[in-house]
Amino acid sequence: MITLQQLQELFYTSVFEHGSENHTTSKLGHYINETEGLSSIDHFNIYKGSITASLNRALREIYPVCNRLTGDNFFNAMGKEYMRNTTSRSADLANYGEDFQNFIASFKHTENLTYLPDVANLEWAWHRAFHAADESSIDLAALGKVPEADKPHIVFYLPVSASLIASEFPIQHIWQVNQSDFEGDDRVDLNEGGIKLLVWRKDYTMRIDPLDDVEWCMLKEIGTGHTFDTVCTHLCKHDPVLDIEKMLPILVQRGWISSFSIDD
Amino acid sequence: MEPILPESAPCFMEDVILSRFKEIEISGAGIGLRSQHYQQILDNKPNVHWFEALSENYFGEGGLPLYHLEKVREHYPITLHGVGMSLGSATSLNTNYLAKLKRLVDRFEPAYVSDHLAWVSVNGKYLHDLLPLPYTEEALTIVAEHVIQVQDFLGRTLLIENPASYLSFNNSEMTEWEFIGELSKKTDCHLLIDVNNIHVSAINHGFSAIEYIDAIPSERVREIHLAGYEDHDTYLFDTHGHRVHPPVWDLYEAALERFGPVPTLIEWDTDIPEFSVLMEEAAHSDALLEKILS
Amino acid sequence: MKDNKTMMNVALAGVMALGLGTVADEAAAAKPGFEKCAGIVKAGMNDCGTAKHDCAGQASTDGGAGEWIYVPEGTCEKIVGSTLKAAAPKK
Repeated sequence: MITLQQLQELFYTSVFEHGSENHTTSKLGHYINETEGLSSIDHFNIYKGSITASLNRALREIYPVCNRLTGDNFFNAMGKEYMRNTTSRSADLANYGEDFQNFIASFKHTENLTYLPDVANLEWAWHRAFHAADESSIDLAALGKVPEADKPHIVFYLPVSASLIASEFPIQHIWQVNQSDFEGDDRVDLNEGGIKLLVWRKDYTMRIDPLDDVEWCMLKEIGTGHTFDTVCTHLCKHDPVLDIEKMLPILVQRGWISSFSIDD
Repeated sequence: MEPILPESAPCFMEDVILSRFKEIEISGAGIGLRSQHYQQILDNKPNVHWFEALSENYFGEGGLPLYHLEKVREHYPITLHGVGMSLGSATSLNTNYLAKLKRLVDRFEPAYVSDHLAWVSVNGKYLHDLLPLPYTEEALTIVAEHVIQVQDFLGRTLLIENPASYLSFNNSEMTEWEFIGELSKKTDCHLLIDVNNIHVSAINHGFSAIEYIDAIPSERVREIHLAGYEDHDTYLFDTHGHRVHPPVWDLYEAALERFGPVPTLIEWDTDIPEFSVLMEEAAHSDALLEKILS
Repeated sequence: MKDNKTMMNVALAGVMALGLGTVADEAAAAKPGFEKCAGIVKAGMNDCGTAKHDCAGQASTDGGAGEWIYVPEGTCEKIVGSTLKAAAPKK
């Protein structure tokens, strides 16, 4: 007698078994009834096809630009390889595909699409920001009341929705021309060079903000969670010296710094 | 010394807490809430009795999905319907999942919380599909334990839905309707009867849909689902991508005869149409519900 | 070189000035980024309909991955300055 757990493990393994190596699937087939016109494996394959299609659809929804860049057939085939290598650990499909960019980076059929992993990184950041917790802007009244002695211990935070992304490719441009509502010249020259971005959500508005080197360094440093005192020390050592006196108000006003705490 | 308790002990506290919503209970025909229709629903406030939200689509921490559900809930009662509880898993339930579901239930105060008689994951590995169970005593014991665990955790009765299926296991020891009957006895759960699923499974496995309906303990039925399948020649495929088919409407009438005017949901998941199409389907359902009442 | 204390105080004073609506550098604060606003509604990812499989999905059920020919055929052709070449079919 097969136990329920053994049956479910057998089913799981069979779903991701290659069509040509159907050892597990045929074992599973012994437990499935045949009907007129459908063998036990045919019955199983209805589920196999549905599961694969669901996972591929999830990837397509999270990575629409990667899908558009590579085309449906290629993207689905790549998705099938990905799902063989990646276990879904959440009941919510919105959590599937976090490390897709790493998979793409190691996938030999995309090695010529050098920018693709970075595009995937941008798309995951966008997806993550879309579902991130709602946040109000920084509490200036509370900040104003921080006692002198505590000021060095202030820790500033980027929005919980924020991701800092750097690429040596013009991924924002690539992303933009591949939006379904884009109109205009959709060619991109990789020689445009790299870009640094902050992907985040301000209330219900999704934002991709390009950063210059000063902004990038500041946000990177603040994003580490160091105290204000340590941040100042680090930024002073930076070459050229970064002017936090001028920049902190700007970062706060743009919403790039959204909260603070006092480090004990 | 024993403390002196006030006469009205705080055991009534829960009854005193007022809901932040006008309506909790549902009746008549409802429509499955899909993101494509948010704007139209909020702009026009169509005359729909209630909406059903897919629980997992609101498991995120924040953002527009929860914003929209909040807005819809201000105007309509809702139910929460899940696909990821995996009551049929041989391995233990995901407590993180249950915590997220409870958070939603507490916030949105649904009339009902439901999920399927199916398994979705084994050992924490998810397949994201409603997979069929062998109807054995072993499976019955496992599913019953899980249903009781969830009901205890949520502090409310769960509605269990019969799945559409494309395969049956040869080690089954009872029919699906016997399994559901036993499960409801063991756990005191309520039932969500998907009439379309009964039709699809009846054709796919060659059993009588009417025999199935007749065997369901009607006093436990709280909700009905209707949707459209696809005919794939050798089997019916439950895509939720079409209008309700005529034989399913017929079976629905038979179900209403037996169960009474149970709140009924129009589901549509694939190739989602204009909202007006869903309204037409709901109106058809409402007409049949009223016929039973009169 | 300024000490940290001075820097922190000046920076915080600048931040507090935001609350008063007197911002030193309005132009810099209003830096244009790319934004997509409330119109964007992502479809809910979970549902309980059975998913229809696509052609590629079917192919993988029928054959092994080794038989596939991976040739990207999307808009990547519009990206120039890359070394894009169609990957050779596996033997």
